[in-house]
Amino acid sequence: MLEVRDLWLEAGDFRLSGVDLGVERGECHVLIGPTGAGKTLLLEGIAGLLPAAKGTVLVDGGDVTSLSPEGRGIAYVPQDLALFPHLDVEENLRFGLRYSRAREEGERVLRDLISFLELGPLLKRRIAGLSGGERQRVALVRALAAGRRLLLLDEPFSAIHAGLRRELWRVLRELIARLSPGVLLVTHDVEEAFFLGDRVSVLLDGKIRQSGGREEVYRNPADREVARLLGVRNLFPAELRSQEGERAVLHCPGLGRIQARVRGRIQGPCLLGFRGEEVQVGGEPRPGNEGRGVVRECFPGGGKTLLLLGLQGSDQICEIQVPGGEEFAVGEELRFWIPEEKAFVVPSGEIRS
Amino acid sequence: MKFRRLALLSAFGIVSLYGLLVLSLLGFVGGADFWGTLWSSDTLSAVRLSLLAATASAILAMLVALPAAWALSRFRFPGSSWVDMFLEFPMIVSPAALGAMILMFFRTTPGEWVQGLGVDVVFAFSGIVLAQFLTTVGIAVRLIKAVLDEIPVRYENVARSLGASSFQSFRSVVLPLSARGLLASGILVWAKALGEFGATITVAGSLPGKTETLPIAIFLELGKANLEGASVLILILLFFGVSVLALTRLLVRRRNLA
Repeated sequence: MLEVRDLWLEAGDFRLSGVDLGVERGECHVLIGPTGAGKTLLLEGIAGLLPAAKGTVLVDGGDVTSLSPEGRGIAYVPQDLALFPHLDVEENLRFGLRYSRAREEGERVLRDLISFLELGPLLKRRIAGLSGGERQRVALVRALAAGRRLLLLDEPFSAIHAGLRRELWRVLRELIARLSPGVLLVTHDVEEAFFLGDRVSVLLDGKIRQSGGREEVYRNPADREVARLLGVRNLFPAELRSQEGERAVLHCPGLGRIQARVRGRIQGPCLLGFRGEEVQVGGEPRPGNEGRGVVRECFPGGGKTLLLLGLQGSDQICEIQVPGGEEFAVGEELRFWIPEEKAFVVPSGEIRS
Repeated sequence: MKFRRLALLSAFGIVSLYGLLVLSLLGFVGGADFWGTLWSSDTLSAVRLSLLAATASAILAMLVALPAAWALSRFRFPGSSWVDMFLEFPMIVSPAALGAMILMFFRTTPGEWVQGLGVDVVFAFSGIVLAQFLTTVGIAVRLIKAVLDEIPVRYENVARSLGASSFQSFRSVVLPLSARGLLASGILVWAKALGEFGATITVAGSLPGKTETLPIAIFLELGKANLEGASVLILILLFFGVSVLALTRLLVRRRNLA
């Protein structure tokens, strides 16, 4: 549906270089990156709001790189949604229909979505009188009713509180299941990325560092910076002892011999990575990599406990999240297990580009 | 604290100066001839001519300035800072000099060609409109650009991604969102045109009933040492000026509240 090939964009001194990505019909492709990575710039380039310095944007196989934004069939929803304040909800929803060639189809979709998302009571309301969640729904329906089957969503849920955000994620997934639009969504929220994304791409410093299926990216961050961005707090220098396919044996100061998954062939120094919430603490010995640490700090609260453990025999600090909100004494020695399938290896050298 | 007092004093001082001027004017108003001068055919003719010319030139200036201001507000292009600077032209050049330049232009080949098309500006109503237009159009661009700068470009971007062309997004999104600001700008431009004197008298002269606008009539009355007559005309100008100023402030306040 959408195919971006070697796209280069420039804005002042910032440059987005060689971006390749695709979005299929009915797919949500999430682009995750920190502030300033170039996420919004990329969406503007794809939408035709910014001229491409180089590269191609294809929609349904047709080259739209030189077309104006209105000719691309791509709806752009900016971070603040840009609902038109001089129009009421219904006028906003119908805005795209004024310029649509398939008005009847648009009307049918609009009626269906108004009913599906229970927007009927809001139709005559002014935009200023809508709640955050209502605005999100109106913005999504406005884009879909305009006959756009490709949506570019720029951090649409960033200004919404956590509880409502999850509800809106569900709404977006239902809309995708119902109308099969292709969605390219940018976010800096890791949880949002992996909840919504069928595919996830990581954008750092104007370059796509990693792109792949949700599980693949979650389980196998391509490098140290990607791992940090994706919320991996435990990254320790390690020495590769052996590698067989996707399994590696490492020696890690403070943890000893560790078995972990590995992506591709590792050469030179590497890092062991694992997520604190996937570590099992205390109790009977379990299969997996065993570690021991001394509680340095303990932060119980919100039904879970965050522990900072000093690994034995090293100055490394390991961050572990334990469910239940239990309190641990500082200085207490704990045993923990890192499941083999949850431990991974990333190159520790310079970032690959 | 000392500086704050000084600043407030300065503001009140300026207001007092203007107030003093208006008060001194009132000393010459109220003679037996007041109503006679007010309703005289010469006064009514000057008022009618002033209102007509100011309205025509303000409309023309707004129409020309609107797309120019939009372009300057939305795009950076080579030489855009020079274009921006040249908008100050009528403010740095004396109105009389501007009028003289208009006259000189009509002595050049392109100017004679324009006159050959039937456009006669010297000692004519069209000359008043042209002089007022050239005096106000730069200011109009400045005012409109300030209004458009406040409308986030995201609205246009979204409108275009929903299928509207560049012009359609301008018409259906930018214009309604900036309507009050544009109206306020138009009123200010109109007021500026109404009070224009130097360029107008240089280009169109002071033919009674034909090119004698209110400011020119005031100048001529002063020339005849008729202070009472001049004060009546000044009051009329003040009435229009204060009215449009009040209207503009009302519109801007509503826009800020909206």
